[in-house]
Amino acid sequence: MTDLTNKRSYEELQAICERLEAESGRHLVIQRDLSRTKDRLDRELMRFKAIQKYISDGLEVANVADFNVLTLESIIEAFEFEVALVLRTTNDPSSLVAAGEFGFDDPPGLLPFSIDWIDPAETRIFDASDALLENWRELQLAQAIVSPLTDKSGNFNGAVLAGITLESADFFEPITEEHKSAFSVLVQQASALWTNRELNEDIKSHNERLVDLTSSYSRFVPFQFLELLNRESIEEIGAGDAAGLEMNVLFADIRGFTTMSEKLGPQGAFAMLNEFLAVVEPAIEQENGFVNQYQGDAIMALFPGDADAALRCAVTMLKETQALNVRRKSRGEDEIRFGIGITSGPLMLGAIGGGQRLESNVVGDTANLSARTESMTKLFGAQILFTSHTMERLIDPGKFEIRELDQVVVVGRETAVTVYELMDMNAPDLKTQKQQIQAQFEKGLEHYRIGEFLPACKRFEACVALAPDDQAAALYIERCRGFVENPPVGGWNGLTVLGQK
Amino acid sequence: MLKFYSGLSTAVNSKQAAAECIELALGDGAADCNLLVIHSTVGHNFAQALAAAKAACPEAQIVGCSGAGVIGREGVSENMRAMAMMAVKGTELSVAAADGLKSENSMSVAQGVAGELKAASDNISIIYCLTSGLDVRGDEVIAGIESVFGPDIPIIGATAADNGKAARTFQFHNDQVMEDGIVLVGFADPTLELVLGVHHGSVPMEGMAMEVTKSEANRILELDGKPAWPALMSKVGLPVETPPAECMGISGLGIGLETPEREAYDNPQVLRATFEVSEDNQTFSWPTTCPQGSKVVLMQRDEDLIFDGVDRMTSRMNEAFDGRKPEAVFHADCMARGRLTFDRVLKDEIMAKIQHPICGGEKVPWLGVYGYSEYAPIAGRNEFHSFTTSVFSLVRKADA
Repeated sequence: MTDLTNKRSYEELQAICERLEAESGRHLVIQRDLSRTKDRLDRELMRFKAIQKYISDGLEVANVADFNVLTLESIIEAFEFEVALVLRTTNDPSSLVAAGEFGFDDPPGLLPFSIDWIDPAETRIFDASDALLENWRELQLAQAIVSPLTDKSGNFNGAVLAGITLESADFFEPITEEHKSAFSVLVQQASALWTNRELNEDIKSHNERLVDLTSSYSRFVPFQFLELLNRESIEEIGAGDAAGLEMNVLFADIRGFTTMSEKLGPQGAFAMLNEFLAVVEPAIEQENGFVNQYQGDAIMALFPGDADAALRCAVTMLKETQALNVRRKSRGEDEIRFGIGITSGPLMLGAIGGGQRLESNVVGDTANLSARTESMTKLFGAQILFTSHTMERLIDPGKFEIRELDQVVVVGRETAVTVYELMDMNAPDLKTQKQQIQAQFEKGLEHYRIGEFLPACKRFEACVALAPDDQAAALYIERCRGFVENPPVGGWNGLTVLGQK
Repeated sequence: MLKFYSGLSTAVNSKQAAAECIELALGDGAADCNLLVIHSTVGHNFAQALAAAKAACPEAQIVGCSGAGVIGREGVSENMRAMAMMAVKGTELSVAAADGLKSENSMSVAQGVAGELKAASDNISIIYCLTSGLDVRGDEVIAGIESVFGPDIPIIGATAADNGKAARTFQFHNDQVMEDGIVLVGFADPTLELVLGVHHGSVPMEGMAMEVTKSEANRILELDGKPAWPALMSKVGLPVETPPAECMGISGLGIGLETPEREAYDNPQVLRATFEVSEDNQTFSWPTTCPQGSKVVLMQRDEDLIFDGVDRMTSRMNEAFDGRKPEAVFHADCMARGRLTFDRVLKDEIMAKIQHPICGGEKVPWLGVYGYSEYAPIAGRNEFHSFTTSVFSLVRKADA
């Protein structure tokens, strides 16, 4: 009886020991599984952070090669796979090209392809026995996860592959269904980032083209022309669009251009003209003016603001041309000489044309008068002349070296304008001489205008004695002598009538 | 006089990772670097990394091994691609390495390499030892080295690891990547001394003591007269088919230490880990010899003891520093103390508890690896362990 009891008791104790041992073991296993779960959570978090970082960095990447590198490195960082590829479709539907790779000792180039080998709509996991990896045996992959890429229109245009090679399958974690969702997210982000990037590139390229086009247009139709017509772009301009404006008009004409052209030939003449324009245009822009018209060897520039800008521009044009002439002379080429006429007043600015072809243009007396004023530079031996209309609009005339030259009635006009010479760019000696004879010259003009030609002549002769190169004084001597010999008929008003353009 | 510099990179591109480590460690002073010690996790392309390191430091000898994670002064990374380096400038060092290290020849191969090392330099005072982590007998490696240098030269270091799969481990020597390698670095700078700390923080489980009733070298055939692996798995509560990598963190066995070592170690047992089980799932091997009759006990980690132990360890090290700061710290941590045990937050916390008291907020060069086992002396005797944190500080001698 006692023996039996003892035997049961021993068995019971043994069972209790085994149960306790199993409990202890279970505790260890639970501890292990808890650690694994924590580790998995850490890794999920790491993956999430890597994907977040990828999205942020993906926006900054400069080119497609760098984008592929970033995408592949982000996949490797997020999922800890061994190798990865960005594959793109080619013209040949039976192959894909590797546009980027990570981790391959011998990166593939073209890979054979059939759309049947993958799911073009979904991420799929493949192992070595699947058709895809069978056909891509050269990659030596034990496992791969493949997610399709699509273009802007949603058409299949490649895939992202990540995998584990046969050689390293013993220590890389296997690819599981758990990876699919996050992998798809990352690849979709890659696709979206890239599509956005392509759209941005398209927009950028269109914008660049638009800028180029606008810049090209602006060479034919200045921006200021659009602004003055209150138009945003050239498309808004129609024949007949016009605006009446107060402007300063500068007209410059190269002297002796025909003779120079004959000597240079057509190509040489154009080269010279372009060289000239290249130095004078910036001077116009600098003073907020714009070239309204090229008329062969002449240009007409408009200055919407104060008249001082037109005068400053004229001085700079001459200064820059002097520098150009030094270069031309060193090349054995003829110097470029030109006269400038400036006037101010109302004009009509607008588009002229028959609908198919339009041209910006100015219409009005003011525009014509600037050309007439320029033509007088030869008469007076002056570089720059301007009219009383401009004089009235000068804000700070004291900043310029100015003398009055004549009162003229140009052809086609009824009223007279006073013509002034801007002497700032005269040779230093000549400018000094002109300053010295200024009082004599003005007295001479006074006599001349009231018809006292002999005293006038004496004054002008005194001027020439001191300033032998002053062509204006010489002209007045000639005029006075003429009127002494042949007094004016029908009364004298002191005006010069210019009968030719 | 040796000078030390360190860097860590988590770049996934292997060349870039190597370049980043060197840049962080040496800046633009890489040209005159004499030694690079590299630890890397197994996702990296080692050949590319070694080539990049050589290109950046053409004068340097390169040594290192793989691990489940790397540790730098910047923190810890157990990513599949993480790399850390210690760069050393100075000529008071020598390097020797060999391939073909196995458990059955551990002593003779280690002896041969140690002989080469001694031939290269007579004044070696510290040996940094990196070996393969799976098919090796650490106690025999120590015996082989001691047969050349004697027992008084401290042997410190780690066995290589992979990412916990116990599949393959890698060792580096210049451009050579080995899977059964041993690499020794002999430090011969007379101005340096070693201050080390080693601790595991596991406790024996009640009623889980066993006796090795039958063994051959490092293979345990029977525990308590039963086939060893089934006996161990029944204690752990897992099926006998469980591969060792699946239960590495919970199947550590402790062997009692002698009294002086026990006091210095702050733990009554030294731990052994299992990395290999026979194909029939009956026997298993350790990376060290296991004599028949050994008393073993299933150990369980104790987080409080781990944290308290680290505090006591660093406190003892600080006493030994006596106000000095280390010139460099080499660090071998068991991979089972990485993500197999601690989550990211706890891991960072424990690492801070180790690094902060030792470095005191200064940028002390630091290189660590999560290996499979550690070479770390206890009470002046070279010893082979698993599951420990082993911290090896190189401190400039007070009279240097």
